[in-house]
Amino acid sequence: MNLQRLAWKCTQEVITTLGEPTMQSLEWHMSQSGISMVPEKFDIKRFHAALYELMGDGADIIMELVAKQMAEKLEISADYDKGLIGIERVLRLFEIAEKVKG
Amino acid sequence: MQTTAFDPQVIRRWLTVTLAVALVALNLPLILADGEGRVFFGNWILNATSAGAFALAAVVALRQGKSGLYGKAQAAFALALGLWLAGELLWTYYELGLGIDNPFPSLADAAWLAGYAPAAYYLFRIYRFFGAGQNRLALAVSVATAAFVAYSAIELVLVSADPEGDALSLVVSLLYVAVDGLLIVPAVLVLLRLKSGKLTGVPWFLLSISMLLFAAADLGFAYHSAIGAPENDWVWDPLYNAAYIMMAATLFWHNRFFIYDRDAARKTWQQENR
Repeated sequence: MNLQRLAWKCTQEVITTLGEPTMQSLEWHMSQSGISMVPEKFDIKRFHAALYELMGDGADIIMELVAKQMAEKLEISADYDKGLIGIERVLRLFEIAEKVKG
Repeated sequence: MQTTAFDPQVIRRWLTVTLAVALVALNLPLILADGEGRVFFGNWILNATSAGAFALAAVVALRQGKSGLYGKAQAAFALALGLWLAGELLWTYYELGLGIDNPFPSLADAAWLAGYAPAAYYLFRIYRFFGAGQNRLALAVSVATAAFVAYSAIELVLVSADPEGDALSLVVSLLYVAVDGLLIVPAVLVLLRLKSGKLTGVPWFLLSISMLLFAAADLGFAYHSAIGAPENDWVWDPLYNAAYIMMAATLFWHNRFFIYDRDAARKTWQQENR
């Protein structure tokens, strides 16, 4: 599974924990902001920017949960994220995974 | 582009005006009336505002379903508002039906007090998810609230007109002060931590303020009961009304923006692609 698809999958899993109707509603708000929720076109940075506009600091919490899920699936140890918050943790995981692949 | 029906800024402006009108219109009869008229309006306006909040909570809980954070949290909030509505109706029955002036404590208090547990559960669930990792802030607010609750409890005992005469009244008043702490902690945390965001700022702000108003009214009522001045208890009714109206506004917002509505989405899509 490529990283973009993994980020999409983990994002779906996290926002589903809010409840199915709320997940669908968030996806609708995202589409209204021009954010694609299709795995092939999913851009986590654009998603986070749109989510921050909608949910403020709540967006960082969601990104941290996404990062936690991604780290588990990529089997990256928990101390990768020291001093990082929200989307920074997800982007750090992308860097680490790219390095491992390269 | 969003249509006005789903534009948070448009709905926020509309909600602000509606809230202001509702707060004035629903509290004015209570302030202007006196004697029996005030008792009548006080009871029925509170019944109406709490019933409105409960009706919206029931709609939200049913539409939200059982799944996820909001599923369980909204069901708990609906239960809390149902118990508080039962408390309001019981109070009206005692006061207007049986003609008991200031029926405190009574079965109404059992219903009200029972409502605090699901209300606190609702607030804590929201905060635990969105306020994760804020342990120091949570500890500071908890300690400050515990100190405030302890101070209020001591003050109640000290000002109590006849502590040996009606111990049950004092015990129930102290119970209110204690359970208010359960609302104050998450309400302050949500207010401090989660005030931003086009979708989340408005409901979380209104929810926190409503819970704080509820706690303030409880403390005021308990204080008046303790000093033996029940004739002034009505002054806390506008705060309870304001709290219920704000809870209803929070639920309206959740229903509009956090629960997917296929028909509304289809209508929006059709308007945008006409």
